[in-house]
Amino acid sequence: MQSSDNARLFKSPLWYYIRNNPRAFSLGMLFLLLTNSLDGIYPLVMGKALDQITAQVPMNDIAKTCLIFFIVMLSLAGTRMAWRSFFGKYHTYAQEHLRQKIFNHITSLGPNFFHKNQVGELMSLLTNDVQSFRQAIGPGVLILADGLILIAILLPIMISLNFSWTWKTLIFLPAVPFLIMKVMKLIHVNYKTQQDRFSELTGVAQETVGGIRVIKSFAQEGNRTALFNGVSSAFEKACNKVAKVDALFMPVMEFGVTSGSVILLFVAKDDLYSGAVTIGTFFAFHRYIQKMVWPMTALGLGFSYFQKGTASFERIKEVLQTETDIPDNGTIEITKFETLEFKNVSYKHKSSTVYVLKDVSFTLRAGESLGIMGPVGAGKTTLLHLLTRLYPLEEGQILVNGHRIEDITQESLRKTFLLVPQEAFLFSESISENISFGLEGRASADIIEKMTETVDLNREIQSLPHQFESQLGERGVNLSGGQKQRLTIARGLIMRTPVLILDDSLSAVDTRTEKAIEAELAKSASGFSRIIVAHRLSSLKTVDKLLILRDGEVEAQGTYQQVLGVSPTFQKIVQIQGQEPTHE
Amino acid sequence: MSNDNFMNEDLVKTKVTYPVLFKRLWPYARREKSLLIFAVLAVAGGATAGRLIPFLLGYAIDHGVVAKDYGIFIKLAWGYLALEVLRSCFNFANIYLFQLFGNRMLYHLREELMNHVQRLPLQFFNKTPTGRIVTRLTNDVAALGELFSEGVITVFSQFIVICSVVIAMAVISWKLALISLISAPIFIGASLYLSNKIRDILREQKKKLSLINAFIAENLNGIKVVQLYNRVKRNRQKFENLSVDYRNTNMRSIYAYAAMQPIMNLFNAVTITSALYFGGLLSAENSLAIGSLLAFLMNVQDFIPPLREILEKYQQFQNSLTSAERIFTLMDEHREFELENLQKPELIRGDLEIRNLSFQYEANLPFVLKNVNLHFQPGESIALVGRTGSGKSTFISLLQRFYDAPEKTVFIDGIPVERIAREEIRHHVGVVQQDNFIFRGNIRDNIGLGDPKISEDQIRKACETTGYMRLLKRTGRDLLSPVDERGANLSVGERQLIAFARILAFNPDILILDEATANIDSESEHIIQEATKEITKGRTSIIIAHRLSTIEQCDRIVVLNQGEVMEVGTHAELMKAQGMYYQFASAGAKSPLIEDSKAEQKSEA
Repeated sequence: MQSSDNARLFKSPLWYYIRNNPRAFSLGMLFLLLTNSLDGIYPLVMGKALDQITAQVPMNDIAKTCLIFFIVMLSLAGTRMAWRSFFGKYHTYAQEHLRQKIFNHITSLGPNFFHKNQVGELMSLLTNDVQSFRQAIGPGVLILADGLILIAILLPIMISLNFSWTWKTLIFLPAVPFLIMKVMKLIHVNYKTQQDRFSELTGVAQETVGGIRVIKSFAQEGNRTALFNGVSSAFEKACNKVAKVDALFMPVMEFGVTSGSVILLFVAKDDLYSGAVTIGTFFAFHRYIQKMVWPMTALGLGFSYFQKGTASFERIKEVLQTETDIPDNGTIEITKFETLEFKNVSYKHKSSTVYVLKDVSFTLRAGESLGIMGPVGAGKTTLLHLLTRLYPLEEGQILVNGHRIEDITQESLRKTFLLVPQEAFLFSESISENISFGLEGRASADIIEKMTETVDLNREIQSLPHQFESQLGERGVNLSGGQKQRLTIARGLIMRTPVLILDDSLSAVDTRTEKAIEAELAKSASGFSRIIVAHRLSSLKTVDKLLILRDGEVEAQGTYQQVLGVSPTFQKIVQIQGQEPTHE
Repeated sequence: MSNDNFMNEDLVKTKVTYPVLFKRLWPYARREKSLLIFAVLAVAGGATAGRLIPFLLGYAIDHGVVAKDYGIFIKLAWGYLALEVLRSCFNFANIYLFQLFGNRMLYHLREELMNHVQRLPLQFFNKTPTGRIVTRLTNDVAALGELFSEGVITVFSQFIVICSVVIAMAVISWKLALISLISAPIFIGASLYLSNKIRDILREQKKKLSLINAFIAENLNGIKVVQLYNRVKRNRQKFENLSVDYRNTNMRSIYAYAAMQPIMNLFNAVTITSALYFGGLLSAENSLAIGSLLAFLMNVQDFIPPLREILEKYQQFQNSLTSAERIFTLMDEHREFELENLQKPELIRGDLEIRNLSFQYEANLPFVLKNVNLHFQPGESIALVGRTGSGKSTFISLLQRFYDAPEKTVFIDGIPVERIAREEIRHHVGVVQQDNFIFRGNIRDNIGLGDPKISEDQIRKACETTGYMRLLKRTGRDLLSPVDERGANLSVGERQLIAFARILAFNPDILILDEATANIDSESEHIIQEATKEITKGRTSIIIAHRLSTIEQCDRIVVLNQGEVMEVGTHAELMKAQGMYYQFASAGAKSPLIEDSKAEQKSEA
């Protein structure tokens, strides 16, 4: 069950992902332990060899020690490779799993969610936050474990070599993790400033390129460069600040640790002179102090990864916990359209107190067509969003073939009512793929060509270098706003749904093309209907019914003449647009 | 660049190599020579201090412990402390100075790029998406910086460290150094081979990541369409494929990195073991003191880490060379061409003459303007009428020298335009476009464009004259009120008024006005009509007009069709002629707008 799975994830994300891939995780840990043990042993072997050399034992014995040393190093090579592979698998798979989980969840949420959360922020959630979560449960856990294991191995060895040396040389060491956490925080803060300056820089560059015509027209190139230099230099300063902390990091830390080696010289001299400690031991001990640099760093780094990962996971959790406002719980499948009835439908956005729609009622039967008119902000788009279940219905009822729309499966509802939205959104795929977007597979070339012919786009597409296979988007061809809009109409037409809804899409189309689209619609299955939102009277010439909205309320509905009689809004439109459409 | 490889932009193997990179960056680096020298000195200082430490310890063992000289040992301990402090200082200075140097260099580079981009011809902007140009100026420069600071500098300073280690080893015992490093070429060769593999995987990884990001961005931006067309399930499946594919590439890079480990470890094992064994032999012959052997072993262990670092950075930043290449490609774009010995007219009366002007954008494209001959008197107002594609926009672009007309076809006050510098021409010929770009900031800076030559007073006056000030006052705002990106918080009409005020503030001698077709509420419509009269007053004005009311106000009307001048005359004259203009005007007589699409139908009917 989805929800219990989520509950497990929220309770302990680390444990959740360890359990998702227990083999990789435990093998990774095992090999890490082996690696660290071997790593702990090798200075001892080296020290022994040195002592043998000092004592001038026969070369054979020295050779034996060297062989042992070589074997230790060789095994180290193997175990290092193994832990990296296994551990890498564990956190890479975890990252992939979480990324998909978030994507699947976000795509189930309605447009209301996207009003609240900007796409840029969600992108950063799916990339940066998932990444820093992985950093925490992967490398974060790893280096913490690594550090702790190493300390657990090195410290006893050092103590066994010489207890008083150990505490005297390592006395400053515990400060290192705290120092690192502090520095990491400082880096983070400065980095954030740097990012902000970078956005400003991008902003100015963007406006300069976007407004190049104005800049050139008014010969402002020099001034514009001066302005750019200002933000550019602010960015440089922010970078320098990051660089300073960055540059301090390693030397200070290294010094913090190697100070131990200096202390060693002072504390070791008596033992060395008295001969209580051999040179080999001294060398090995010196090596161990150097080796303590990493575990101390690891503790600091590990904790700061954890902090960042936790903050990221909180953000991820918040999104995953957002319930969809348009749950798809319906069970009724509808296959054809008979009637549509709005009963006292009102709607306001969650965050607002103002009603966008107030008490809207109307009916539409199969075969009829409906035109909706009204000024900007009258609630036209909201009405269509409610009908296609992009917005949740909260007050009133919408009945399709007598069923409440909440009881109908979203898939069959949207296969019956197809909305071509106002904003012409296309995907960075080829033109033919875009037109076939709603179909199971790719439509045949004939049909695609016919559809583009209908929306008067065929000629323009034929003139593109790759015709119907031309890629769209930032990296492909740029279509004009009108061309895009017409393409979205073709994408809708090809679906041949019982009801086609055009939200102001016809504004990009001339009257001749409008007629062609109508004719195309008439060809689809019997009982087809249209709902058209438009500003031009000519677009609504042939509709059976008009619905005039104003401030969310139905000002009038009925035939052209009926509406003209009672609706001041409509009267004004007719007056401004001059000619009366020939109406039958 | 051809359009065919646009999808593979990130994939194209670059032709830029490190030497090319240095050569092209040198002009910017040269300006900060002193920083560079200090940084290099710091690297050398750090490396020297680092190498002195093993010597010191070896010396302490031989002359202090073995020779039982108590005093020397204490002195050496203090010397050790001093060296450690020195090394830390040098290391800090090295990293910090190089960063300062790099950041300064990037600043110069950005300035140069910005300067360059703004002087590229308009065609460049028409065929290159804004996002791509912006990326060059920002992200690519940043990537180049990373390549420089983390790649080049690391490789350089670590290389110095390696050199110092090898020298230190050779000084202690060149025989031992030779023996222990004899296998180095094999291991370096093997890891170079592997690191090339890693580089390819990293490149693939980057490509797959950008595919994923593009897919996410698109699906979230187009979520409505995805849901309305029942594509959610299918797109989730698609995403899963992308995501799993990316994961698998990630795993390949993890395995490749893991495979790098044994190579390094094996190398470590071979060098240290042979140093130990042969060092033992030498020591037994008494040709190597124990302290020196110890110092040698310390040096051997310092050999591997810098080598590993170089190899890692090398792969990582090979890919960033693509960023460098893109920047250099942009830099190599040709700027707007200017003749030498230009003329600089001080005052322009506004006499505009076109003689036998034919124009095509490129040699193999059809002519957009055909044999145009026109003469406008100073102070005259002209309405330019024609449907989309008739050549109106091309015509005005030529007047502002956004494109170059053939020589001696366009004259201002009798001087051919190609003899006048572009900047100069644009000072004298002002344009109000249909959709005027509005900058983020405030209203004042949108009118004065931040030009120090435009005084606050001029801006204020421009706003008064256009009637914009009244509108501002009524809505409780002033010149410092904020303006959002692209003027999103202003109405279409208001943006138009800002453009008008801009023109008045800059006060050009010749005005070109592309009338907006967009629907404007009736109130702004009225203000704009008045403002139009105001700004055309007393200067030669060419108006691409859509509203009959505007056309009627002009002194003369020029009708363009398919690049040819069809009719020229006053409103009354042309109405009488009952030609193209007559059809035009009568079609739109009932409505305030002549829509291009309607006009098109009419003329075809």
